[in-house]
Amino acid sequence: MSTPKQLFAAIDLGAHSLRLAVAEVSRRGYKKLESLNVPVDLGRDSFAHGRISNKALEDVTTYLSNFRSKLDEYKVRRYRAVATSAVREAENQDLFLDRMAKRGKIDFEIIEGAEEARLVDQRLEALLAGRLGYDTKTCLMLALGAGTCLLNVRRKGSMLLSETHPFGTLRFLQIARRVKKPLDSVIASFVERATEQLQRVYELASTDRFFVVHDELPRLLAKIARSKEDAGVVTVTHRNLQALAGPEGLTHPEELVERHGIRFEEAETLSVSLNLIHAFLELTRARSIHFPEVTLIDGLLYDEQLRIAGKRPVGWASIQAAGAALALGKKYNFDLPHAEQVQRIALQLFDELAEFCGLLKEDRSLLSLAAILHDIGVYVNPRSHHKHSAYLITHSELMGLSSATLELVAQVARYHRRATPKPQHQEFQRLGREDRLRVRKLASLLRIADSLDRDHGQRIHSVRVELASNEVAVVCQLPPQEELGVNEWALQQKSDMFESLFGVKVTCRGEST
Amino acid sequence: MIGKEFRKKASSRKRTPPKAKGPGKKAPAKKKPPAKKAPVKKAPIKKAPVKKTPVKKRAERVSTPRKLPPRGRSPEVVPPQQARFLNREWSWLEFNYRVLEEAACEKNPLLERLKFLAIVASNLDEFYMVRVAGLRGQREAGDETLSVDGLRPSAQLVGVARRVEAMAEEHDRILRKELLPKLAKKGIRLVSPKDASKKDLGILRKHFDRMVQPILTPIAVDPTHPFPTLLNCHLYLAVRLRGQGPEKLPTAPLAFVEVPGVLPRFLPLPGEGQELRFCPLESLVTHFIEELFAGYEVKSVHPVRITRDADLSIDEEESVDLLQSMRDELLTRRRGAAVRLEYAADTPDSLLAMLLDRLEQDPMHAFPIKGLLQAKDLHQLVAAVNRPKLLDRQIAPTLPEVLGDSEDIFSAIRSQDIFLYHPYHAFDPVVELAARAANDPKVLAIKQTLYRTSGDSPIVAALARGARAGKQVTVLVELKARFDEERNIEWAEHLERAGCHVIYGLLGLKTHCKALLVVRKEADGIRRYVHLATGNYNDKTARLYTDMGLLTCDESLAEDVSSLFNVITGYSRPPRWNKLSMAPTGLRKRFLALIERETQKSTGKKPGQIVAKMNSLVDPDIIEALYRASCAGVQIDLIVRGICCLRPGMKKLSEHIRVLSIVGRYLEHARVFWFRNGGDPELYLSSADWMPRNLDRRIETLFPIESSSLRQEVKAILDLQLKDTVKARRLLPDGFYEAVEGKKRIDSQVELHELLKPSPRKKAASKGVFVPLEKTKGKKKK
Repeated sequence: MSTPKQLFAAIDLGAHSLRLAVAEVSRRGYKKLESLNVPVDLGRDSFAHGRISNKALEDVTTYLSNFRSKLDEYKVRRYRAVATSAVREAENQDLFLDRMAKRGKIDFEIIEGAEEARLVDQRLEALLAGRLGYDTKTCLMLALGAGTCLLNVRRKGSMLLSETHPFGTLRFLQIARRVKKPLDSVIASFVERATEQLQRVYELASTDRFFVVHDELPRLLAKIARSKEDAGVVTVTHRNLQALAGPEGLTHPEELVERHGIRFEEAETLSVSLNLIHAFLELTRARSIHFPEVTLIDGLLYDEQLRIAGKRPVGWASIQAAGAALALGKKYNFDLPHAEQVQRIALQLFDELAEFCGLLKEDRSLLSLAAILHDIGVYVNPRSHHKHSAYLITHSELMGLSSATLELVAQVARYHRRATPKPQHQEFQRLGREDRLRVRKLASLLRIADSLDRDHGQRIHSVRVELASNEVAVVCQLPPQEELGVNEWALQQKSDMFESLFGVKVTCRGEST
Repeated sequence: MIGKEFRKKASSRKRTPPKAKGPGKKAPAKKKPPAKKAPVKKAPIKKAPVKKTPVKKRAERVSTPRKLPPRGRSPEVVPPQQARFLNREWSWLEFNYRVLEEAACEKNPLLERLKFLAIVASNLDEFYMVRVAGLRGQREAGDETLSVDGLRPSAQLVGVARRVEAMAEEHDRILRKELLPKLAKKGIRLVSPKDASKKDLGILRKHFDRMVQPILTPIAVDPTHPFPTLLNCHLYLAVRLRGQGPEKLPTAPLAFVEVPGVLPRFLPLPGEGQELRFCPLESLVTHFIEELFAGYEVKSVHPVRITRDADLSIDEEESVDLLQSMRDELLTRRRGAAVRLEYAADTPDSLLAMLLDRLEQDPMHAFPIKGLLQAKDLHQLVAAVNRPKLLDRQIAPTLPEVLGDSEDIFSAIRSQDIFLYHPYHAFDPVVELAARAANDPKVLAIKQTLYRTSGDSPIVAALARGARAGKQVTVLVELKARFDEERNIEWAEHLERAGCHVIYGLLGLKTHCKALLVVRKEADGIRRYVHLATGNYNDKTARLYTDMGLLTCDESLAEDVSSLFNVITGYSRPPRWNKLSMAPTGLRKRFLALIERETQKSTGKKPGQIVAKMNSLVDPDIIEALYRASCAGVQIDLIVRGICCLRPGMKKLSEHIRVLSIVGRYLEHARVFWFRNGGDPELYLSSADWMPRNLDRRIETLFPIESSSLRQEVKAILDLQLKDTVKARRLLPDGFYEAVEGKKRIDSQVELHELLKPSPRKKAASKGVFVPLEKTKGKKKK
C-alpha cells in the first residue's frame, strides 16, 4: 500500500515574485506537480514608501486569479499562502489582504521573520542531515531575501542564535541609490553593524561552514560559476565566487550582464548577493559557500509533510528555539547555570503537574523558554528586572515563534516574581482569556522553580511531586549534607500564586540522594 | 489557401546519372537548359516566351527517368566561391524543383504527378507572397544588407528569377506535353468550348447563364477609371476591346474579368463510358465573353494572374484584440505590391508592357504560361477525377504493439513510453488520448496546443466535449499560423463557446510546439499523460506528413509539460526544466551545447557522430557549430527536406558533413536529433527546425527519447532514410542536388511501412482490446 497522498498548495508572496507550488504530500515526502513563478513589484513600493501601490495590487490580483484556477484545476482544498516582508511592512496590508481574499480568492497570512526562519531551517535540516557538517560543525546560515535577511548559527546541530535583519537585496539597492553611495560601502556598513551584535554572543571566525539560502542564486550560480552540485546543494569556492566578479573585484550589474549573459535583474541580485556574501565570508574561516536549493515554498511543503506525519513541532518547542533563547540570554549576560537550573526544575514540575493544572503539551515549551529567559532583564537593572525581561523578550526574536507566542513567553517571565497579574497590567490584559489563564498557570510554576534556586547554587538535582488532596509537596533531591536553606524560605514567599490559583498548599522538603 | 495541406506524394524513380561533378565550382556542365534566353534585368518587356521545349538528346532522355533537363550553372545561380553558406531563397527553390521532379517522374501514378504540379504551384505562390516580397521590399528600401552567403537582395532576386523561370517552363511543359496527353489516353480530357459538340455547348451555355454569368463583374480600364486593383492570386481575363457600331463607343480598350474563384475550376461534361471530360472555367468564360461587352468587339482574351506581397505584420502591442486585428489583416492581405505576374504566352507585347507598367511589376518576375494558370487548382481536377488506380496505393497504417495489448490508452502509456511515427503509425492513439480524456471522469484537466488543425478535427470535438463535461480545458490556439488564420479563428470561437479556456499565444511569439497534457486523478495520486510531437494535431495531414510523437507519463517530463503550458498561458515565468528545452529561452543554447559536446568528445579513434533530421537548416550559429564539429572529425549526417544553407563537402570546413533530402509521397516533417555522445547515445525530438525563427521567435520544444529500445527504433528509421536511393537527393557544394547512387533500390518511405509493422507473432497474440473510442461508441449503441 502506498502512503496516502494529499494535494496541497503553497503560495509565497515575496518582494520580487509570487510563487505557487501544487504538490502531492504524504507523510514520507512531497512531490511538486507544478511550480509557478511570476514577477511582482511589491518591494519597491513597500520598502521605499511603506505601502503597496495600486498597480502592484492589480498585478498580484491578476496573477492570483490564475493561481486560483490552477488550484481549481487540481481541486486543491488545502493550501497555505504566506506573505513576507513586503506586505509585512506595508501600512495598507489589511486592505491588501482583503483584496487578495475577495478578488484573488486566496487567503494570505503574513508571517514573521521568525516563522520564515523556522520553515526554511526545518527544510534545510532535512536536506542537509548528515551532510556537509551541518550537524557536527559550526554553521552560519544566511537566508537572503529582497527585504529581510535571516541569520542563523548552529553548532553541532543545535541552534545558537537566529536573527532577522531588515536588510535584503532590494533594500540595499534602494538605499545605495538614495544615498548615492557605492553598493559595497553601504553593504559593508550594514554588515559591520549586524556582526557587531553577533560577535558578542558568537565568534564569527569560528564558523566552519557557510550556507546561503536564496531563491534564485543556486540556479544562477550553477549556470555561470564554476560550481559543484550535489543533491540539491550548489557549492562554490571562495575563489570561484570572486572570479565571477572579475579582476576588478566586486562588480556593477552592467558588467555582470555583459560577462555572463544574464538578465539585468538577475545581475543586480547577484551583485548585491556577492557583496554581502563576501562581507560575511571574510569574517569566517569557511573556504567555500554552499547554496542549498531551499525556498520558502519548499519550507511550506515540508512543513505540511511533517504535519501529516504528525511530527510538526507543536508551538515550535524544539531545540532550535531553546538554542536561540540561550543565545539571547548570553547576549544579556545572564547567569547561565541558574537559568538552566530553573528550566530543569520548572519542566520537571510541569511534567508532574501538567494534568493537575490542566496544561497542554505545547505549553511546556513556553515554560521552558520563559525559564531560560526570566532573568535577562537584570542586564538592564536588577530592580524590576522581571519587567525588563518581559520587555526584552517581546522585542527580540526567537526563531519560529510568532510575536503572539513571544508575548506569552514574555508575560510568563514577567510574573516570575513580585506582583501577580493586576487589572492595570495592560500587556497582560491584552491577552485573550485562555492565554491569560495559561500565563498565570505557567508563571506560578516558574515562580516555584525559581524559588528553588534562589541562592543560584544549583544544589537541587531534581524534584518530584507528591500530590495530596489539598497539598502539593515538592520533594527536592539534594546531595548528601546539603540543605534547602534559603530556598525553602523563598518557596514559601513565591508559592502564593500557585496556591491561590489551584487552592492547594505548596510545601517542600529536601531528600538526600 | 490550402497549399500547405497537401504537398508531397509520389513513388519511385531510378537513379539519375551523376552530373555536375565536383564541389562548389560552377561546373560548366552542359550548357543547354534554360533554352530560352533569360531576359536581361533591365529589359522592359520580355518577348513572348520561346516555346521549344528544351532540346534534349534522345539517348539522354531514355537514361534520365527524372525527365528534367540538367540545369546550367551560370554565375548568377551559383554561390560565391568563398561563401560559407548557401542562399536561403535559392535553396528553397531547389526544394521546389525536387518536388517538380516528382511530377516529372514516370514511376509516379498520373494523378499523383498532377498533384505534385499543383503543389509546386501553390508553394511558389506562397514563396512569392512572403519571401520574394521580402527581398523586393528590402531592395526598394535601399537596404543593401548582404545575406549570409554574401549576396545583395538584387543578386538574390536575379538567382530567384532564373530558377523560377526554368521551373515555370518545365512545369508548363510537363503539364502540356506529358500529363495532359497521358491523361487523354486514359480518357481524361480537358476540352475547350471551341471544340465542343452541340450537346456540350448546350450544357456549357446553361451553366454559364445560371452559375457563372451572374457573378462576373467586368472592370473597364480607361482614362476615367484608375487601374483596378487586381486581387492577389486571383485569376483574371484581360479582355482587349474595340468600340463598334455607329455610335462608336469611346475608348475602353481594355477590361478585366475575374474568373470566379468560388466556382469549380473544372466543369465536368458528360462522357461516354470511362471517359471523363472537363471544361476549364476560364475557357468557358472566354467563350461567352462577348456577351459581357455589348457594343464592343472583343479583340482577344488573355488570362493573367498577379501575386502580391502578403506577409503578415500585426502590431501586437497596439492591438487590443488579437482576434479582431487578425481578421482585419486578412482583409488587407488582398492588396500589397505586385511581386509576380503570370500571363498567357500569347499576350501581345503592348498589353504586357502596359500591365508591367501599371502594376509596377519587375519584368524579371513576369512569366509566360502556355498551359494553365493557377495550376494549384489541379488539386480540384485530381479530386474530380477520383480514379484510385491513378493514385498511390494507400498503405494502411499500423499501431505500435503495446497498444494492441492494452486495455485502454492510459494503461498502455503507463506500461511503457509509446513512440508513434505517422503516417506509418495511425494517428488514432493521439485522438484516442484526447477523446478518452474528455469522457473519463478521473480526468481533471486537458491542455493542448493547436497550431494547424483540420476542419472537422476530432481533437477539437474532444476538447469541446471535455469542457462541457466540466473539466478544465485549456487550449492554446495559435492565430499566427501563416495562411491558416481564418480556419484557426473558427476553432477558437467554437472552443470558447464550449467553455474551454482559449488562449491566443504570447505576445510576439508564435507557439509552434506541439503538446497535449492530460491530468488524471488516479488511485495512487495525480498522474499526467503527455503527448509531445514534431507535427501538428491534424488527423488529415497526419496521413501525409511524416511526424514523430511520444506518449508518456514520465513524471519529470510531465512536470515540464505542465510548466510549458504555464509559460505559454502566461501563468508563470519559465522554470528550471527537468528534461525539456524550450525556445526562445534555452533551445538554441541547448542545441549548441549538444553539438559542442559532440565536438569535444570526438577523438581520432572514436569520432563523434551526429544524425539530424529536419525540414530546414538555416541558422548560422548552428551551421558554424556544425562546421567546427566537422573540423574536429565529427561525422555529420543531415536529412534536410527543404532549405539547407549549410554548404557541405567544403575542404577544411564541412568535409565530414553529408546532406540528404528526401522528397516523396509523404512530406518529411519530423525533427530528430541523434548524438553519439561517446557511446552513450542521446536522441531528441523537436518541433523546431534549425532556423532563427524557430529558435528565437517561436515557442518550441525539444524533448528526449529515453527508453533505449525506442531510441534504437528511431535510430533504425534514420539509418534507413540515410540509405534511401530512390527519393533521396544529395546536396552538392554548389547548392544543387544530385540523385544518390546505390546498388539496391531503397525507397525509405515505402520500406518504413515494413519496418514499423508489428511482428506477426506478436500480432497474433495481441488481445487487440485497443479500439479507438470513436468506433466502440457505435458498437455500444447496438
